Amino acid sequence: MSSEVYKLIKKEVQFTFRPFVILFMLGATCFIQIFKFSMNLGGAIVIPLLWCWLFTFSGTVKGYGSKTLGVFVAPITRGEYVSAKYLFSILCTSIVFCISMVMDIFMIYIRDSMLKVQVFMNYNLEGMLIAYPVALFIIALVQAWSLYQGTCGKVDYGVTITVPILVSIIFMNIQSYIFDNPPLNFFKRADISQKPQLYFIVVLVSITAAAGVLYYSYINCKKDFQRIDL
Amino acid sequence: MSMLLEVSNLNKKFEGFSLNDVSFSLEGGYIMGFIGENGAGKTTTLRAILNIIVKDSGSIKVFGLDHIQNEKQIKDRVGFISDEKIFYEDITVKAMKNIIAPFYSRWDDQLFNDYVERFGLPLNKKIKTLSQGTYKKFALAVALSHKPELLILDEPTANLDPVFRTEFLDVLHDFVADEQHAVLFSSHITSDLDKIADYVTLIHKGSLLFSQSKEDLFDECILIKGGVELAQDFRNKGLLGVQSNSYGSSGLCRSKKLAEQFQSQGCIVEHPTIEDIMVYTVREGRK
Repeated sequence: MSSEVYKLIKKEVQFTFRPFVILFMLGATCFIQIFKFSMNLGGAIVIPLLWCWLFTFSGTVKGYGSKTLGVFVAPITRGEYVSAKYLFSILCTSIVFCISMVMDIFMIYIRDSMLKVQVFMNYNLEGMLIAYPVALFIIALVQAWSLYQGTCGKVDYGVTITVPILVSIIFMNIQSYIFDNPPLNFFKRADISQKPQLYFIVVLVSITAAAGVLYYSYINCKKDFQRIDL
Repeated sequence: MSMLLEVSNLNKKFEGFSLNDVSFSLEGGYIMGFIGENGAGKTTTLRAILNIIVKDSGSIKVFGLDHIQNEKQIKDRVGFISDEKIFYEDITVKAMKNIIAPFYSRWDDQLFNDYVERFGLPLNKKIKTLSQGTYKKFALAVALSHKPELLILDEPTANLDPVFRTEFLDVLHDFVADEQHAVLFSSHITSDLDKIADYVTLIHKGSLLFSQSKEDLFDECILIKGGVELAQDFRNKGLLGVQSNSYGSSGLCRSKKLAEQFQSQGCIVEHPTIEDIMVYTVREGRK
């Protein structure tokens, strides 16, 4: 990584992790965790949570799209700029992903302890193990969109909001269809012990697809960035 | 003196607008005024030099280096002020400085602080709260603090009060004094260029009308004013941008001999300002 890319990422971190952004994220997290806890929902609900966080980030990225000039007149090439933006985006997602997972496990553990039930391993963690790879794929899609609009400004908020929600719903329904059978059972928990091969297929396909989407969007954004005028 | 900037046959096409074979050059020690109407292509040209806009064809050399192959090296040695607000507005002046400074190899914090003091910049104020004039001062401080050799300024004096404008022009004078530095300065306030420009380049509808020294330009151009009845005569004899109203007619003449003829016919002969030259030449170009 060149020092310019590092400096750019540092700049993005400085700009993004400001008090109101952190407060918004904490607020959103608390709200969803309380909602989850009170509704006795499993790990699958993590997808809207991640989406909520990502929306904040993608909004920030979009904001950058129109305000890049101040930095871009500095000694930076287009390639460095887009690489930094991309790496920063992935860094944020990774942070969000890890925090969400830890919080989920923590909240579920508390709930199960309070309810004095031993369902932790049987239900929720398994549900989460499916939800997270699927979420990763959805995040990759959101990432691609946010980056694309951040650099090119061709996709508006409407698409950014609608598509991840639709994709979330579709994936969650596929998940519940595969593992619980009743289709459209949005919050039904999965029991992967019944179909471990399917679980691994879902995980493998999701992670491969996520990697593919991320790579493809990176290549395309880079190409676009070479063409566009800031 | 070395050639700091060479633009040759620069072309860039947008929908409804194109830059056509724009060519000019700038040596060290000089200030070039870059003038033209709104939408003439000034900003496009300046941004193409910094590769902020991708050119379609042509060659741009800054410090003798190709502007794309040596983009970082060139940007490190160029100070730029945009006509737009290009800094993040939700952070303070100091925070923005801290973001920008590390990118430049020759950034001088002491120099920046000197400009902060000299321009009265509020370091802890958010950029969005700055007045337009103060914003421009901040942009100038940033542009100068990394010790550039070439300044590219897009409408830098717009929104500045007359006192600071004068100070600003002094800063530019000092900047080019050692003959190693140069300034490319686009402006609508042509009175500023009257004061400081060594060269004037006029662009109209994406094409270059002229690029020459101010001295030669003032030597060549003469403003002729006469009665209403002379308007057609002015046009027939090739005066530029002839205009006529109930008070009389006028046109820009680029021949001393012709000017003397008109003077002998009782016309008023005046030395034009850069604004006059721009107005009459552009008017001619619209025909």
